[in-house]
Amino acid sequence: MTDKIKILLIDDDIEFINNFGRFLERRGYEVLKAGSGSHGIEVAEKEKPHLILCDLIMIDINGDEVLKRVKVSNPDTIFIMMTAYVDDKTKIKLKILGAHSFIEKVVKFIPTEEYIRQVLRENNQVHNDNN
Amino acid sequence: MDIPTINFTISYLITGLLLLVLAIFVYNRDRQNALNITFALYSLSIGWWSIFSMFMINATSEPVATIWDKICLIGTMFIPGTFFHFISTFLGYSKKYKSVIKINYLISIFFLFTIFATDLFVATTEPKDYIRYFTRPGFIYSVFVAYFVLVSSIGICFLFAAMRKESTNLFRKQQLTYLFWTSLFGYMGGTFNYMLVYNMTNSNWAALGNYLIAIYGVAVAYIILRYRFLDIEVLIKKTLVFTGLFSSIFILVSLSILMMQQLLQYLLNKVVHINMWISLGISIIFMMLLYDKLKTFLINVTNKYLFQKKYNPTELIRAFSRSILTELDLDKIAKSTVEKLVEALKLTSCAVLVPNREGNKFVIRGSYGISDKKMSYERDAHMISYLSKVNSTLLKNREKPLAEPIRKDMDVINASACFAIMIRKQLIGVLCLGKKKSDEDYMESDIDTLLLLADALGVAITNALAFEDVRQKEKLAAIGMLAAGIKHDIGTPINKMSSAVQSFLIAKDEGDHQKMSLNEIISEAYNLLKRCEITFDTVSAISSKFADFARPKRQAELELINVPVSIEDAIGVFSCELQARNISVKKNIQETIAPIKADKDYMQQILFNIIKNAAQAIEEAHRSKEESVISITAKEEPENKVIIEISDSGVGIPEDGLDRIFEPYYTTKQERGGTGLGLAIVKELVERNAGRISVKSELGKGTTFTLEFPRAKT
Repeated sequence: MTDKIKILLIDDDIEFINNFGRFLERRGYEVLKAGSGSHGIEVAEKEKPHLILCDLIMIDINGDEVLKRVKVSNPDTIFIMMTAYVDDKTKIKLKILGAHSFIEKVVKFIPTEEYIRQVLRENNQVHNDNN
Repeated sequence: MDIPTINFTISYLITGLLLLVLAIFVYNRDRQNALNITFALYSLSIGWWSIFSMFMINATSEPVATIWDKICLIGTMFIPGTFFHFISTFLGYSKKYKSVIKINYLISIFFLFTIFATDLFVATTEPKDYIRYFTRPGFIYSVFVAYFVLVSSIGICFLFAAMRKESTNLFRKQQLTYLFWTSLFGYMGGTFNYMLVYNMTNSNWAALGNYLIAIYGVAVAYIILRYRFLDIEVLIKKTLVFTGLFSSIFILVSLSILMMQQLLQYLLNKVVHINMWISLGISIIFMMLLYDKLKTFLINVTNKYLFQKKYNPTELIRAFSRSILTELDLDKIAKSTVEKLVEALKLTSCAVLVPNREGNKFVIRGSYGISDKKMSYERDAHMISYLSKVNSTLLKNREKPLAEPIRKDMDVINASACFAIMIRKQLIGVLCLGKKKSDEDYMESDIDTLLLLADALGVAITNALAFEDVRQKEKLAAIGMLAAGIKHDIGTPINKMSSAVQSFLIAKDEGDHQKMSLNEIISEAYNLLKRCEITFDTVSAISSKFADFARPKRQAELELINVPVSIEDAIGVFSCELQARNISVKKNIQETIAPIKADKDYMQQILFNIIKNAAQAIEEAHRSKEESVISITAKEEPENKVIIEISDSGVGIPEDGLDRIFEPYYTTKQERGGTGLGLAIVKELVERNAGRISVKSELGKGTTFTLEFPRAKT
């Protein structure tokens, strides 16, 4: 199906993106995965995902840098930052850069998927759940 | 002169002069006191006898010797009478035995009459042993000796009886015991002189007896002046020093006279008999040239053992305040206090006690002359509660003795005087001072000075304790800054594990497991749990790393620190924070660096603070990721120094700020809410670890902090 929602997961924790990715796929999303910030930017430019879930602190490039670059190539992509902890100052900085919202790690699969669906709906992106 | 005569002469000279000086000294101390007067008379009689005995044995002819002998006996006549008078006064019997005292003096005068009016006391002198002229006893002389022995024995028996009877006042009992024994030995010493008169001994023993009399004189004088007794050890030491001083002066004078005579004979190139007085004059000039050196030497020796050096209280307080009040390290405060007091007051021991961390005990933080440094007092120990509740000073050896339990407490730490260190009516320490080396008591002026010092010490201790609190708060503030990093470091492994667990559970809920065999499911669950277990360990290790850093600590513990490991630990605590700020760390650490001796906690705080400052400076400079670098180098230098350099590529510090950067409350980053204490604390901690810190900076380019520590002695 071509109208599947494309979600890009960027995190240097490969096991996490595999597990979470598998879960999202079962819920009918098309999942793209990138194990580093730079790879994430590449995939985003090529695949133009509807939504990106990106870790803030990564080994090569941090999430804020990824956000900056992605917003240049695909300004309409919904960019959600995943982070263990973020202080208010950083939060405001990231909001200005164009981050949609924040998900606190540890990521809970089911509520997170519900949240993603809600965000998509608000942005007029309808996700057809095949379940 | 032959050796026995010289020996005997010196013993008379020393004993005589010593007792005459004591007589004047004791009399001058309190001219109204009957005890002082009677002792002065007694001492004068003995001194008189001793001096003129010396003249007798050195007389040029027999008739002259006899005259000296008779003059000498004037003093002797009054020894029994004044002794009885003195003992009666000392024991408080002088009223009761008023008539006996008077009769004694009358008897003395009667004997005196017989000496000069008749030949029955002494008619001539005769050689004894090696001595050319000595008393030849007449009939009345023997009667006098019998009388002398009788009165002396009665006096000593009085002392013995009083000593046995005294049971309530232990201090007085001790005093009487000492007086009894010293009197006994003193009179035994005197007996040798009578034995020589009757040819029962030789002059060397008699000389030794004279020294016993001298010691006896000093001991009794001390009792009167101090209301207490000298240690027998100190007593002998003092007498020996006095004797030594006297002999050295005597020998110096004789030698210089001899040398001058030889020199003049040599210069004039012929054997001439130089007038004794001319050479004496020349040698006096000679000695005057040496006067300063000799004086300094004598003063030093006498100061150490004989009399306490007069220290200047203002000077002591000033020096003390200068070194103590600016110090923030409790151990150094205590150590420095002890050193200064031992030096100024010439103490045999000294200690500063402060409460331990739990606050239930007082422990030694600095001490001198105390063998058991680990000893402590409970907060409710007699000495401690007396100082905190009753009186801020405790002095032994006062007329009014201290309660026995308090004395015992003081004995444990060899203290003669204790001073409470109070701040706002709270006892925060005790200053314990041992005996002075001179064995003198603490005077009122000493106590005034020491009370002032105890106050200053109270302020210093409070400051030091406050510094510990500030240090701790600063550390906690820094940890607050690390919150994001901590959360990330712990969150990451949990997130990974949680994703695996959720996958398993969701698969189960959604029926995926139906395709699998039970064994497969169990095996998957087993693997999952096993990984959970490993994750728990990882997380627990991370949290202890931070907890270790935050742990409050009161007292430094010096240990061998491996510098590379210490640096890795500090970076480790910080790694996530640095990563979040896009700052990379370039390390150039020589792995073979010798360990340094330092406190681990201090070391962590030092490195942490400098790295934190570096990170903040880089962030303020808004560098690109490539330019955001902290370089850490560590190496060992030839002169046993370990150097750690931490450089950043931050904003740098303006030149006028460089001098002030280690000052408390100086900060360039107010908007960040820095306490302004970070680097001041770092400097203090570096110095506590015997290190040095310096800073170089170029505005707009970056800053380098250099730490220098001595390598540990192996």
